[in-house]
Amino acid sequence: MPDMIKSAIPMWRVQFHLLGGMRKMVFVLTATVTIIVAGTIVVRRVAAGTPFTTVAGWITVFLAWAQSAILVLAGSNMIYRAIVRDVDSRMIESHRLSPMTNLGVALGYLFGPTQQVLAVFLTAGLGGAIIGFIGQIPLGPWGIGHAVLLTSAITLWALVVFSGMKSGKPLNPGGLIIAVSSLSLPLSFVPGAAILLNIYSVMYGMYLLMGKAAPHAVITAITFAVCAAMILYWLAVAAVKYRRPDLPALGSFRGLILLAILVVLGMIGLAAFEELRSRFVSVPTDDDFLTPQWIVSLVMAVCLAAIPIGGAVQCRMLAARGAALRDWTDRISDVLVVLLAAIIVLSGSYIIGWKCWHEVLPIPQAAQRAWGYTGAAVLVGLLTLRPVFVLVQRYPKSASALVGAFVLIVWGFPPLIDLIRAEQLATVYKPPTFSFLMGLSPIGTLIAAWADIAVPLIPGITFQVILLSLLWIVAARFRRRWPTLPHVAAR
Amino acid sequence: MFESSSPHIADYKLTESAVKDTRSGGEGRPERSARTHPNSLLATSGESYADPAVEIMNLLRAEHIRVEFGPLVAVDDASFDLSGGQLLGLVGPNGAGKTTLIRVLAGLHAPTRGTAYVMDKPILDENQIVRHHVGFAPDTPPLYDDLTLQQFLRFIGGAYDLTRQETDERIDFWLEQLWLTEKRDVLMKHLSRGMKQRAALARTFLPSPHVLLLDEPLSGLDPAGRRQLRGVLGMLRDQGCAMIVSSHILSDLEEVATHIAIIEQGKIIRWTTTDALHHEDLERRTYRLAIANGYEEFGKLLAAIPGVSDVRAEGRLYTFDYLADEARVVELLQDFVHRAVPVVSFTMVTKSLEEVYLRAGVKQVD
Repeated sequence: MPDMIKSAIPMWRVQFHLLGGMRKMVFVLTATVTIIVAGTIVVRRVAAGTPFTTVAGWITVFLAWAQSAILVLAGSNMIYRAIVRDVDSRMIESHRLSPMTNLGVALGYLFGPTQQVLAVFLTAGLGGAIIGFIGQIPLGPWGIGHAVLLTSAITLWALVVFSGMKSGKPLNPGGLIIAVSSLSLPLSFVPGAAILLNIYSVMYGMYLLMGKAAPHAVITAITFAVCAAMILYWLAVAAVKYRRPDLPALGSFRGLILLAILVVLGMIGLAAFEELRSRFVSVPTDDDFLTPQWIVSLVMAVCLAAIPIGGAVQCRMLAARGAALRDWTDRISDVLVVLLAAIIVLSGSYIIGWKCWHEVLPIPQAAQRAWGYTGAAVLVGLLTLRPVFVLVQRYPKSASALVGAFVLIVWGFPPLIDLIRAEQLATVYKPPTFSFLMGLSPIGTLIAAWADIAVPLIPGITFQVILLSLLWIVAARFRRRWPTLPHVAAR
Repeated sequence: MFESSSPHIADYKLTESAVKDTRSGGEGRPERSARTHPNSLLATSGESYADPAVEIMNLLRAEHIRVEFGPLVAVDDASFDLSGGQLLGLVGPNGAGKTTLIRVLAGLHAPTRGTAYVMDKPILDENQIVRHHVGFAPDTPPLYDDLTLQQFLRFIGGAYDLTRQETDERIDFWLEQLWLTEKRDVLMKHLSRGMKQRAALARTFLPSPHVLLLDEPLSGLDPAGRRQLRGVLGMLRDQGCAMIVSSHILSDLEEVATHIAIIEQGKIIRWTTTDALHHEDLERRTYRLAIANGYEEFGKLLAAIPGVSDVRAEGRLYTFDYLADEARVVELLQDFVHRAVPVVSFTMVTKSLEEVYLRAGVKQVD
């Protein structure tokens, strides 16, 4: 038996006892069956003249909602409570002392506290299948819908496990669901993120269960593949953080993987957006919707590259102070991480997103020019993030906030100011005209390049290079002081 | 670096294969006697460290460990070795860094600098074998309140890869040793503080670790429980475990420790063997003398003797320091008899750990 599973078994067993053991399990399952049977009888009585096929349809729709709520809300909540209990009681340290493998413990938290939820889900799924069978409802979508919903929920659970290991306070599942639901429209600008966060897969599963959609082989395959990849990823980073809370969870190597996943999914999402929109998202159709989507995806990728860069710089600082790093994944040079991140963003967008950029700028010369500026903006931008991260190590607890502030002010303000200025000066007869301000930041450069705005970008890029050089020099001096800086220990 | 040098402890080296044998119940596993540590590494009847093939050496090693919390240096350059059969008593005021140091050694806290090794393997490495050998009991025991003691310990057995039979045997043993047999099926939330403390110790001892790190294990126990635990600690020490025990109950520590380290503001300021502690400052010793009634001026007489200082009188009981060799002490007593001092008793007071600690001038941390 693999060590991972061997380590997970005691965790599952102990969670089973903590959840009330066999007696509680039998009670929960009996209650589930009773509710389904009683509910069916009541509905049948109330709608006496209605054909059973219709009644079965109502019941399966109700069950679809119930199943989603059970999996997403109850499942996440059980994991949340288990982790908070172990962190608060310090039992997590007892686990950490034991020879249980890191992945085994993460797996234990994934499937241990959710045993009852899974049992209820399967029982209700079986009950729904029996009702559907009697009501002559096709069972294919019901089965596939359950599989899709389950894998999507497990992906979400894995994210809850990771967040718990990272901060000791897992994501609040209720808050997460509300946040994700409210973000669904803005996320349509970055369809890849919506895929990554499982919004589309949960919707797909729900539609299948409610009979609103037919199974689609490609979408089902992509859903399973993405969920499997993300489950593995979140569990792997949760395992790392469980063992070494002092090191960045998404440090260099793992951050690069996340960046690559997001870039790939982002580009796939853009390419398949029409398909996704027609099925899941109600956003107005606009011929020019692709351009902002493309630009937002590029900007998001550049911003997300901050994760591996920040992780790499933090690891370098810890090493400079004498701390023991975990393995080679934490020892990658921060400059190399910057270059790899730039390669991932540029090549991923270029190769996987070729269909999109061809549609955004179908004129070869314009596209060629845009790629030139994109390369410069991404490279200079990511290289700039490195010294910024070096400098903020003086305040490790606020490092992320400080880098966020830098990105917002230094990268966000120039294009924003130029945008406001251009809008104010524009009239009915005179279209908005932009200035060199647009090119002062990588974000502005990307907007100008891909929106095909005719502004001189070279002076702006020159400014970015000068800023980069200055920051690099200051950071190099500061870096020498790293070994003497007060260390802020992780929790 | 402090060198451990207990004269009565032989240095042995514990090989991984030997450990594995004993754990898996292989051929190298020694026979058990009824009242010894089950699955004990070395020993069983009478003679400890009997197996010459099993060497214990540097079971635990700290190398320049430094821990910082912002500007606060919690542990400052701590380095030492601990071999099997050695028990280090870690003493110091509250906030001196004892708990932090122990947590680093257990691998629960990554040091800012330096490395802790267990059996020559860095504790922070992804090495499952190393974790089999380290047991840590924190001052606040982490337990699952909604489990019975037996369920909890069975979980621990599973986590350490023990079979159900092995686990149950060890549970029987440790519950008996720690006076918890009757509480086996009681939910942990219904246990008193002292019992929880003992349950946490049972959890720590159950996997038979070779390195034991106990943070204030005696604090929540009643006098009889403390005595019992001292016995258990002595047994584990004699069976070849390397142990660090932090405690403020110095008299208990003195009884079981082979080594003492005093830690102040993160720095180990004193490291000594318990034997050396009792015999240091040979020239200056404290004596206690009781006299019968009828010698009112004895205090003045005592104070006037050259070499005598710090005379304290409690009724007819006098305590004083005397800077002299043994011959002069004999002469002093003869002089008293000659002067017809009605001496009832005359004893040398052994310096206690508490006294050594208090005299070390350790700064209390606010």
